[in-house]
Amino acid sequence: MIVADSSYLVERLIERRGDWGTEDLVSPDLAVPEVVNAVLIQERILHTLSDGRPYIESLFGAVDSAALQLVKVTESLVEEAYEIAMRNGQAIYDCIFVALALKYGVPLKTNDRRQAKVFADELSAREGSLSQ
Amino acid sequence: MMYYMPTISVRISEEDRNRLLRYGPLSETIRQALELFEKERKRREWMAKLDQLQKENPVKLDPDEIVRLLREDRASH
Repeated sequence: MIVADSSYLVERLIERRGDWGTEDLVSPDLAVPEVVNAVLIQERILHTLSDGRPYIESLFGAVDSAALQLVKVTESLVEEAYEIAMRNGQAIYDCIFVALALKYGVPLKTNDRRQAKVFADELSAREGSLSQ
Repeated sequence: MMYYMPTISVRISEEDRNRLLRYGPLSETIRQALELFEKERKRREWMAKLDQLQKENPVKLDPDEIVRLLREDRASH
């Protein structure tokens, strides 16, 4: 299982890589409007897609076939993400994905270097406190 | 209201039956196996559809551009 940031989902949904479905992805449910908005921008503004609708359908197909599991954003997840955001000076959205990966103890896949660094720092801080 | 639950019967070897019984009642094991089968088939169908869609619409995205757009989206809330 891997927690996927919206940036990773957008790339896997639009670009042909052939590796989505071979691993179980988990994302907070806030990823859905983010990914849909990214598809909308690709069609309406960047014109990289002629029609974004089949990609939206495919996103929900991933949920239906359990290739993507959506997790409800709960109070405890937000509390954890809030602490991470405070410590690292990041937006809460980024940190919800980080908090989810830390909660499940699984890797976070993201194209966002800043978010990846927050995850790595938080992970090493936790591992450090566990080994002490 | 009456609910009708269809019944299926499966013929398996005595050896398979005994082996499967280690995991609990056979009816529950078969139910779980059917669920797994359907999930797997659904995933394969979805993967094939996505692959076809991507093949017909070859797009190369810039990962940094995706991140920038998502950041703008997140900052606008």
